[in-house]
This record gives sequence, C-alpha cells and structure tokens, in this order.
Amino acid sequence: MPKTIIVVDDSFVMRTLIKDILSVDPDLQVVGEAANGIETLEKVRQLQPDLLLLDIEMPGMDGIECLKRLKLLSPCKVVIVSSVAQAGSQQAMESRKLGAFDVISKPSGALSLDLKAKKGSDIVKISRRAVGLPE
Amino acid sequence: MSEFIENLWSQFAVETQEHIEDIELKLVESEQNGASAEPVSALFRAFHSLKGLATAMDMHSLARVAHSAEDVLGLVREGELQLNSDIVSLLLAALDEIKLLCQSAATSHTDAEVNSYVLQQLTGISASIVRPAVDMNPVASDDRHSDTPLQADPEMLGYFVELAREKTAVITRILEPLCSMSEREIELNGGEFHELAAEEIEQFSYAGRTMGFLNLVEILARLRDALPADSRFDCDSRKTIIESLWELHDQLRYIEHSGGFLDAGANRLHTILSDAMQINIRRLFTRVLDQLDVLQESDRDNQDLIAQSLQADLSALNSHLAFFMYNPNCNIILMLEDVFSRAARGELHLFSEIIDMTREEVTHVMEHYRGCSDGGACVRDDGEIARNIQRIHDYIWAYESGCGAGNPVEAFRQFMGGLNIEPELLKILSPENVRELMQALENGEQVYEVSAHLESNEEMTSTFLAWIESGRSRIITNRSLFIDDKSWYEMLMVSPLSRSEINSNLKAIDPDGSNLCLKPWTGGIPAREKLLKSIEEPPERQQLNTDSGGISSNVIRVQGESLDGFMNLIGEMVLARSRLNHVINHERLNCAMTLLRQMDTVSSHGCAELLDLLEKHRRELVETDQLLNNSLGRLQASAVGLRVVPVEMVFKRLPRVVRDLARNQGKRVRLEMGGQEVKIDKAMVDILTDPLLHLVRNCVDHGIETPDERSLAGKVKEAVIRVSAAQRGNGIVIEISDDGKGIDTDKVLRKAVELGLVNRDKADSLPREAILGFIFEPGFSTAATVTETSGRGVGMDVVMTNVLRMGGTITVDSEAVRGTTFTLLMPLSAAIQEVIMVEVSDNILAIPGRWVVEVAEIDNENIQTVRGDEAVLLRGDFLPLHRLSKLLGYPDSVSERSASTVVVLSSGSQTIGLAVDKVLRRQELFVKDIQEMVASLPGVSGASILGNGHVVLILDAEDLLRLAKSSRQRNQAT
Repeated sequence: MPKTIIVVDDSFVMRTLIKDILSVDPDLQVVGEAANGIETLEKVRQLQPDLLLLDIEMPGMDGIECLKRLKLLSPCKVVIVSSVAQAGSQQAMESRKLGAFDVISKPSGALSLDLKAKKGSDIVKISRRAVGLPE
Repeated sequence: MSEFIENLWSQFAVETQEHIEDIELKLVESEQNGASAEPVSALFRAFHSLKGLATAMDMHSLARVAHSAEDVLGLVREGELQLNSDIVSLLLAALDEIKLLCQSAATSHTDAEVNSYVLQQLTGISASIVRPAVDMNPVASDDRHSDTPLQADPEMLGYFVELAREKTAVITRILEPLCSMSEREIELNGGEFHELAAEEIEQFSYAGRTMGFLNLVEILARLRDALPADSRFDCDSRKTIIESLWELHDQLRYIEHSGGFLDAGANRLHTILSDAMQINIRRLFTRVLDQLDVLQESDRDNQDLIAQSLQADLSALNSHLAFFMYNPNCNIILMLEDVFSRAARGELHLFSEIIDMTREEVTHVMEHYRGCSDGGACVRDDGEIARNIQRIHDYIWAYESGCGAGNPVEAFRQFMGGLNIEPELLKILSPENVRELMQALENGEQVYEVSAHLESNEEMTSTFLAWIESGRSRIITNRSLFIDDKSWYEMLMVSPLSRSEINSNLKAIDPDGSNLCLKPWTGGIPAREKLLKSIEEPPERQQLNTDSGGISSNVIRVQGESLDGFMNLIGEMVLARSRLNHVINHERLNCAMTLLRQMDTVSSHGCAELLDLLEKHRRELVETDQLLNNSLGRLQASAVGLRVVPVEMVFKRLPRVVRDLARNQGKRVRLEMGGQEVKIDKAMVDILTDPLLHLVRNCVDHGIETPDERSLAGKVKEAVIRVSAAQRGNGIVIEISDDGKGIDTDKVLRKAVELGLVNRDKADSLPREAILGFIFEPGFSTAATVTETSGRGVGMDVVMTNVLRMGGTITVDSEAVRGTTFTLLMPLSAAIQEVIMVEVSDNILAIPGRWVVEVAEIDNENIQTVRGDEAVLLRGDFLPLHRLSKLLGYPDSVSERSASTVVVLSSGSQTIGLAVDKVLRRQELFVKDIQEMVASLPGVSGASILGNGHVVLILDAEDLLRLAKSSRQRNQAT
C-alpha cells in the first residue's frame, strides 16, 4: 500500500509540479489536493491521508492556523513546502513547534528536472522520511 | 511540447495574470487609503507567489524582479518603510516589468531581459535600509515540541471551541429525534443514528483528546456507547443519551469559562436540548393520547404491542419531565408506566375504564404542564395527586384481583381498608397478591404480619424458613426495613393456623422473641363469600394502526466541481422538456384522435372508450409536463445562481485606470466602490469589463474638472467617482456616478444638429433624456481635443452595443455642476435567451425577444412601395418594411395570403418591420456555442436545439438592422 498524500498550494502550477515530482516514487500516492486552508481541512477529514505537503503562505487561512486546526482533526504528518519558511524563520520555528515534520523549499526549475533529480529532490526524500519509508 | 507542459504554461499565464491584477488593485488602494497590515501582507504574498511560480518554471529574470519587489514589501511589512506614493509608483513600474516578463514567458516560454533600471531602484531601496541580522541558525530538532499544553494556547482553544460548536450542533441535530422515538421506531432506524453520530463523535473526541479535555472525551465515549447499534437499544440507553448530552453541555460550559467565555455551543446545546425536550414533551403527550384512542379501538392481541409502546412513551415522558424539574406529576406518570408495563407483559387487562382514566390523568398532567411552561404556577396539590393515583390503582387492583360483583372498586376498597395492616405492605401488593389474599380469607385462613430479623442467627433462620416451607402458612409479600441498625423483613402471611398456634410455633423457633415477632391483629375480617368473582373479559376490538415516524433529513455535501457540465446537463434537460412538450402537442396525436372520433360516428363501440383513454392520457401528460416545466425552471434558476462570481472581478481593474488617468491629467479623484460582493454570471465578467472601463475613463476625462476648476465652482478639490452594484430582481444594476461638471446638453444638442442626428427645427422641443441619448450615437464626441483615451467619439456607442448584446440596458442622467450617473441594468445570466420563433421560407428562426417591440398582422393593401422600398403605416408612423427571407438570402416564399405577419424590431434609434411567413411562439432557448463558420454568417448570432431535435439559428437583431439599412441604401443608390 503506497502512503497517501494531499498537496496543498494555492497555485495550480505549483501543485502540478509537486505532484509530477512525487509521481516518480511508487511508494507515495497523491490522493488529493487543496488550494486553501478550508479546503485542506475538508479534504483531510474526508481522505485521512498519511502526509500533507503544506504551503505556509496562503490567502485566507494561513499555514499556521491550518496546522493548528489540523491537529484537532487528524494525526497525519505535515511537511511544510514554502520558500518563506526557510529554516530559522519565525514561521519555520512555529510550524515545527506545532509538530510539522520538516520545512522544505518549493521546487526550483521543476520543469527541467530529470527522473534522477526528481527522485533525489527534497520533496521525495523528506516525504519518504516523514511517513517512515526507508530512504 | 507535451500536452502536460503546454497546459502548465497556460495555467502559469492565468495565475500570474491573477496575481498581477490583484497587486495592481491593492497597490492603488493602499496608496489611497493608507497601507494597513492586511493588504500589505497580501501584496507581499502575491509577489512571493509570483517569485515561486517563476522559480519553478525557470524564469529567473521574472523571479528576480518579483523577489526585489517582495523585499521592498517585506520592509513595509516590518514597518521599516512607508508605502508612499513614490514607492507605489516604483512597485507599479516593477509590476509593468513583471507583466512584460510574464507575457514573454507565457508566449515564448523564454526568460526575457530585465529592465535593470527598475531592478536597481528596487534593490537600492532594500539596500538603503539596514536591517537587524536574522538568526539563521536552524531550529534544534528537540525544540520541536513545545511543553505548553495546547489548552493554554488561546488560538488553539479558539479553533477547538469552533470545532466543538460545529460538532455539538451536528451531533445534537442527529440525536434529537432519538429522544422522542418509541423503542420500536428506534429498533427500525436506530442503526442509522449510530452510524451518523458515531463518526461525528469520534472526530469531536479526537480533537478533545488532542487538547487534553479528558472529561469531555469520557462523556463522548459514554454517548457513543449508548447509541443504538443494531437493535440493542432501550429506554435506559435513551436516558443515557439525554444525560450525556446534558453532561456535554456542562463540560462545554466549563471549557467556555476557561477560555474566557468563548462560545463552544453550550448555550445552543442548552436551547436545543430544552427546545427538543419541550417539543418532545408535547409530542409525547399527543402520542400517548393518540395511542390511548387506538388502544380503545383495538382487539386484545394488539393491546400488548400498544401497551409496550405506551410504556416506552410514558417512560420517555417521565424522564423528560424530570429533566425540567417538573416533579409534581412524575408519580402519576410513573404509576401509569407501571400499569402499561404490566399490560405489555400480559399481566393485566386494559379495560376501557382504565384507558379512560389514563387519558383523564394524562390530560390533567398535560394541561398542568402547559400552565407551567406558559409561566403559570407550577404547584399541584399533593393530596390530589395521591388521590388520583389511588383511584387508578384501586380500579385496576379491584378488577385484576377479581373483587366481588356489584361495584368491584368499592368492594376492593372495603376489603383493603378492613385489612388494617401496615399501609406500606398494602402498597406493594400486586393484584395477584390481593387475589391470593382474598382466596385465603374465603377459605377461612387468617392474615398475619410477621417481622423477622434473619441475619444474626443462621440456625434460627434456617429453622424458620423450613417451617414456612413445610407448614401450611404462606408469605404473600414482604418488605425489608432497618430498625436500630438491624435489617428486618416485614412479611404478610396467611395461614389456616390460629393466632395462638402461630405464636407458639414462632416461640419454638425463637425462644426469646428477639428475632421473630407477630404483630397483633386488630382488623375485622371482610365478608368472605362476596370477595371474588370471575374476571371480566374485555370485549373484542378492531385492529390498530401503529404510527411510525421518519428520520429527519440530513445534510449532504456536494463538491463544487464540474459545474459547467452540470449547466450543460440542465441545458439538455431544458431541451428534452421542450421535446416532450413538442411530442405532447404533436399533430399526429390530434390526427389520431380525430380519426377515432370519425370512426366512432361510424358506430364502433370500443372507439369511444379508446378516445376517452387517450384524452385522459394526454391530459395527464400535459399536467406532468407542466410540473416538469415548473421544477426545471426552479432548477435552472438555482443552477444559474451556482455559476456566479462576485462583481469584484470586474471592479478590481478600475482603481489603477482611475489613478493613472487622474495623475496624467493633474486631477484628484477618489474612487469609491460598493456592492463588490454582488454576484454575476462568470461569462459576463469579460463582456462587462470593457464597457465599465470605458465609462470610468469617460468620467475622469470628461466629467471631472481640474482641482482649480472645482475650487472655482465651490467644490472640494478631490472628486469622487462611485461605482456600485446591486442585485435587483432577476438582474443587477451597476451605477457609475461622478460629482463632476455634468454633461452640457446644449453642447450635445449643437453637435447632434451638426452631425445631422436631429433636425434643427425639432431640436428645441427635444426632451432632456433624448438629448443625453445622443452620446451613445456612433462618432459622437463633444471633447474639444482628442486625447489618448477619449474624444475620438469611439466608445460610448460600443459600450451601448456591448450592453445591449448581453440583454442589458444603459441610461444616463446628468445635471450641470452636480455630475453624471450612468446606470447599467444587466441580466444575471447570458446563457438563456427569450426568443420569438418565426417561420420563413420553411425555415424556423429565432429572434431575440428583447428586440421585438410588437408583432402585427398587416393587410397587404396597407403596404406601400416608395422607390422600391416597402413601408407600412403603423399607428400613424411609417415603418420601413423588409422581407426577412430577402435579407437573409432565402428563396422568396410564395404566399396567397392577403395579409402579412410583421415582427417590429427596434434598437431604440432604428425601428423596422420584418415580414415573416408565420410567427410560431415565444419561448426560452438555451444558447449553444456555435462554430466560427456559422457565427460569421450575416444576421446570425447563435444556435439552439429545439424539442424535435432540429437546430434553430438565433438571429442577431443588430445585424439585421444593419442589413436592412444597407439594402435600403443600395436601393436608393440604384
């Protein structure tokens, strides 16, 4: 059984790119996506995924609020995907305090990545680690 | 390029465009209203998202500009920098740069050169401000989990409370019917409640556990366990549910208090519970009374079942009343509950007198309860209650024990009164006990009360029990009580032995009399032969109706996807409905029926019946069709409501336009917008944007004066343009008004005369509205100078045309010095059109209804030909007449008719008559997209499919008017 993932980002392009990268790993399966906090909570409630890839900068409900609300909903793991939330930033610290597994940056030049680069990307590596799959 | 990448790029273009528009609007707004925190972080976020997108797509120049702008906004966000006019201009310049780069990225997928000047400016600002160094050390991994409990985080508590509120409401809604259902209903439907509620409770419980509210978790577990899984459910479970809900209420109260009086839903739960219980109580009262009626009518076999259900209801009633601290009448209900539980077990017969008495009592309690809940005094005389209980008790006991003929109740009372034994023992006598007692007395036995303390002396106890078992004495009933910390049994015994014999027997078992004693007998013995009679059989009754209640409806969530598909389906349904209508009204059915009628006259008998059948069938079809049509109409209306977006989508482009234009012209303008939340059809957004932009531009350009001019006119220097939207009935109204100098009607009139739009003689008598209407004429401009944006006389006519094409109207009102107001009235949806169906040269065509002024039947002799052009005198006006077939290039239809059917078409300024072969009907059509080839045909604007599956072309009235004009000119030229 592959581990289930929900990808959250307000940009369709970003979600598509992230899903494309994740598609190289048969152990990881994207079962849903969401474009904002409210949608995220609804999807998590419905799909109960193993992992959530969460953008921290979203209009409406921001990532931190979303994280807090998630805690009340599901034990799923959360990896923050955002370029603002670089390690050391306030948001990174706060999201880790709230139980986020890790903070990674958004994919760069994702269009030109080859299979090997995708497999070796943070998105795949950290996702595997978050759900307890061997590296 | 793969489809995947292609798609990605086009989506990239859409998203970047959205961000750009968003940024533009927010920048201008911030400049005008002063930058508050919310828009600044939204701006920051938008630039940030642009950067992210650019990076992901390898567009590094774009990413650099977005990044620099983001940096500048970061400074603003942190309070290091003021978002003043200069910064806004710089950011707008950066945005223009971003626009170019995005365009290049979206079209050629390549990274264009950056305008280094803008970039330098941006980075210059960032560099000029020295920021405190940010701690770049990554967070230590063991710092992840904070020690503070989640309850202490006010935000977290807030979210929890929100969730609690939601869950409580859902759970209560699901469980509410359970509180009043009978056991049988619950057996049938209980499983559903279990399923529905259990999941919600589980989610609530998870959140509670996360927060560490363990009491809450416990209560919820109890609630879940009490739910009726399968058919295991009884009154106790119901009680547990109600109790748990009240406990939940208390717990929520506690949480609310700990969070500083947040609203976790306790109040609501309290109201719901009380309301539900009030309602239930009323419902239960009614149901009990109804069932009593049924009971009276039913035969004996069914009585058990009804009694069972009555018992459940009475039990529910009792616990409900108890929750309201409504105690005084509980004893009566309790007693009745006991009666019916006995009846359900077949232990007693429900004579109609019992039913009558029960009804009487229940009514009593109900009226009293109503008096209380209406605010009346809530006291009821205890004595009265006791007497009433006694009355029912006596009656039942009298009959069940089979008291003597005549008046059994009286006999029973005399008998019981004559016994003169401990009243508490009398109370617990069942009718069987009474009967046994009477039997014994009739047989000449005696009644004795024996008290025994059986716990201290085992030997004595066993001897005593052995004596009872062996001897002829029997214990009818007994009760236990404590005297001086010792437990005693008080027993009612009958025995053929005499008092002295009993006494000596007891003495032998317990010599000192400290553990066994015989109460002295003081009463007289009732007349023995009259005590008993045979038990009356209740009369046979009719069968009963069991009532059954449904489960209240539940909420279903539907995903908002594939709305367009949904709309298409509805469109198809509308078409299918028209087809049905067509089939119903089809000639062949009429023909068939006429044929039958003719056959009938010939004599065949079956024909009349067949005819009747057909007629009936048709009537039903017509009715069904009407029903279908009604609901389809509603469905369509609600579906149209689904594909709407806020009018904000159109408005958001206005601020930048106004700002730039005002700056260019040295004017000061404040743009006020209202009603952005009003919804319009998504398809309308694109069509509306240009006209609105144009109108607003016009306001700034023509309407608004320079600050100096305004000062001279005694106005404040800053002008105001108001754009507002409001929904009115089936359409929306958009108003654009300014407080500028207004439209100079004299000037407009002069220009109109100059352009030959109006006769110089007539000009003076023209009403103001008509004069203002000239500004919508093609080529009309009163501006002295031609500027980049206006004065070329192109525009207002385009605005007018666009608005009309969408089925809207536009009006203008203006007053010198006070300002000008344009009012647009637009339909909510553009997809459904009302049309007039006409037939021309065997073709069926649709003319948009809003262009049609009237349809007239005109005698051919009234048609006059002037220089090859036909015209007709209609109500005193000459109306140019055109053959639609000719305009569209169809072969001429030959008609022997002496009159022509004319559809009068008007655009407001131009009115013509269109001669058609036949006007068929007025109907609504769902406009389908058509291909370019068809769309380019002259006079055609769209297509639709009719009920019979035929394609019908929808004519473009505007085009027709143009065709008419040019054909007339052609005729005049020749």
